[in-house]
Amino acid sequence: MKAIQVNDLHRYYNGVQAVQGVSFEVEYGEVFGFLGPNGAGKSTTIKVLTGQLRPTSGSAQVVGCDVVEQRQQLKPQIGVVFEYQNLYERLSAKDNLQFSARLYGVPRRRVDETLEQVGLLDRAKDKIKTYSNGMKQRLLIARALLHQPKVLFLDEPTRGLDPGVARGIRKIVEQLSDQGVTVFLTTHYMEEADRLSDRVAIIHKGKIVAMDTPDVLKAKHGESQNATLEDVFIKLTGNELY
Amino acid sequence: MANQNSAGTKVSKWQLIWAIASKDFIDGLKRRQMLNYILTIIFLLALYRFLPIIGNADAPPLLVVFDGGESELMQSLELSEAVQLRTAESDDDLLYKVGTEDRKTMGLVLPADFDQRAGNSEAIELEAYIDHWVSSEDEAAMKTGIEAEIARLLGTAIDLRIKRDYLTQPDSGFSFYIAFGLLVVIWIMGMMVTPQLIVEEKTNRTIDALRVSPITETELLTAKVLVGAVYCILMSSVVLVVYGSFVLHWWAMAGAILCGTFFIVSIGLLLGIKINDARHINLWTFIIFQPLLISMILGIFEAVSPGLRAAMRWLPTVAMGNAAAQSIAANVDLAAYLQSLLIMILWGLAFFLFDAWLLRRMEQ
Repeated sequence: MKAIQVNDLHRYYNGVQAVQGVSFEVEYGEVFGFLGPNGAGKSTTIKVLTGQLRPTSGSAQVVGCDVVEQRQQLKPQIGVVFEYQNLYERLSAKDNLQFSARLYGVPRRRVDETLEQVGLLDRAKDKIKTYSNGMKQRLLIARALLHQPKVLFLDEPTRGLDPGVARGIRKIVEQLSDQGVTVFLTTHYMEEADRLSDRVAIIHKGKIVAMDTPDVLKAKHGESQNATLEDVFIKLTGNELY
Repeated sequence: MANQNSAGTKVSKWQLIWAIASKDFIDGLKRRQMLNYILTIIFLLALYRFLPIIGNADAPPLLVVFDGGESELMQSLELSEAVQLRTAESDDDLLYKVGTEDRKTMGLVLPADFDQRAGNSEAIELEAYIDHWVSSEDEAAMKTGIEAEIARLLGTAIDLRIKRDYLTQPDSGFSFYIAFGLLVVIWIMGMMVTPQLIVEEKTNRTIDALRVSPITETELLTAKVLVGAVYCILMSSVVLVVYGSFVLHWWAMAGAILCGTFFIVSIGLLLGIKINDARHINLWTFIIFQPLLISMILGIFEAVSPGLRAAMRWLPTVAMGNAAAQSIAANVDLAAYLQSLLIMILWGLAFFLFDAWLLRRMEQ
């Protein structure tokens, strides 16, 4: 059984076909990079895979659960870090996590463990509105990891962060990968995708245009021996990155 | 039904609802607007409770008299400046009139042979009625004042034998004040606070985190209804601190508050789901409130045709007013009361199911 299995997925969104016949598989323990320019269908795909959106047609299973029919069984087995910082600002970091812990039936001691894992234990009692962007991002990761999900969805986890903070986030992802957590990662940073991902898929206008390991993609689509994943991305999508 | 996480721990539906509800309740108390709402409610209550008293502060005591014969005392009382006279057609009419007044009133029965007895210069005992909620001090003051005035007019001492009774009528002024006060309080808390519970989740996009968490849309809404209801009930208890002395049937009042709260909180959730900007909540609350409030006010006017009145009984705010009014009447009309509760529950349930449907299809 695969961690994620997607077959011929289509999704219309406000009259636009955001995802057009996407199919891919992700193995357990794999870090899968899902790359594409803005509006390519990355977030829509994540929303379908996490049960937030119903596919128009096609099917998707995550940890063996159909994302439509078995949505409730799926939810406790996945963790999601959204591309925006959706935390309860009037609550402290600890209160935010304790709230999530109650939703997932996680013991309270796990809250402190997770806060320590992301380096926020010493600021646990501070309100979120006093946190920097980097701290909020680490807390979002902590919230997603709290219930020890089998698959972690990371939607642009380092966007807008200082290089130092982004490096810290990447380190956490590497640690998760070492622990065997399946990671589904979307990012604009090709270097980050190259470094973290076991395989990447490049989606453009709702369709996957390439999918393989970063090295194979560079060898196959690169125009020189020193081609980067960024070169491959620009060649396949015709888009500048920023 | 219980959800199971990766670690195998089960979380029941009610644990999920409690987790959301307790988070929202504590978070809600930290809002600055909450203090504004509470102060507004206390101000309105003080206004409604004491306005009739302030307006009648210098007025003479109100005396409703049923004259069994044709006593000359009535003419003297009409000219008196020490009492304000109203007449009743019968014993029953007297009790009804005392029970529908929105201020302290005494009912007095003059027997058919009153003038004859007064002419004998003997001390006369008269039956008088005062509603159950009038304090002992006010009763004593009214008794002394009215005895003195009648003695002055007759030249003969009289002794009022006062019967305190449960006279308040469901259509009395005070019944309306209580029902209206409750409605305003529950409306403010239910319609201004409850939508915030959803709008804020949408604005901060924390609702997305909830959508991928084990909680279902119905459980989420149930939690929000509970939080809205707790705020409404807490503030309703403030109304009852002010008006509590009028309530005779607390179970009836509790039913009216609970069912009214369910209906109003369900509308509040609808607003929360449809509105994306918290600044629009007050405006929409005001707009929706108008027809419901007006129908409640119209319900107390006798000029409104019976057909229209009967039709308005099916409106939830009118039903709430009727149910609350029953709690201060001497005898509860159980059929009418239960019908009012049912109307509120059905309206509330209809809105709740519509809310759940809307929330489910919000993203899908």
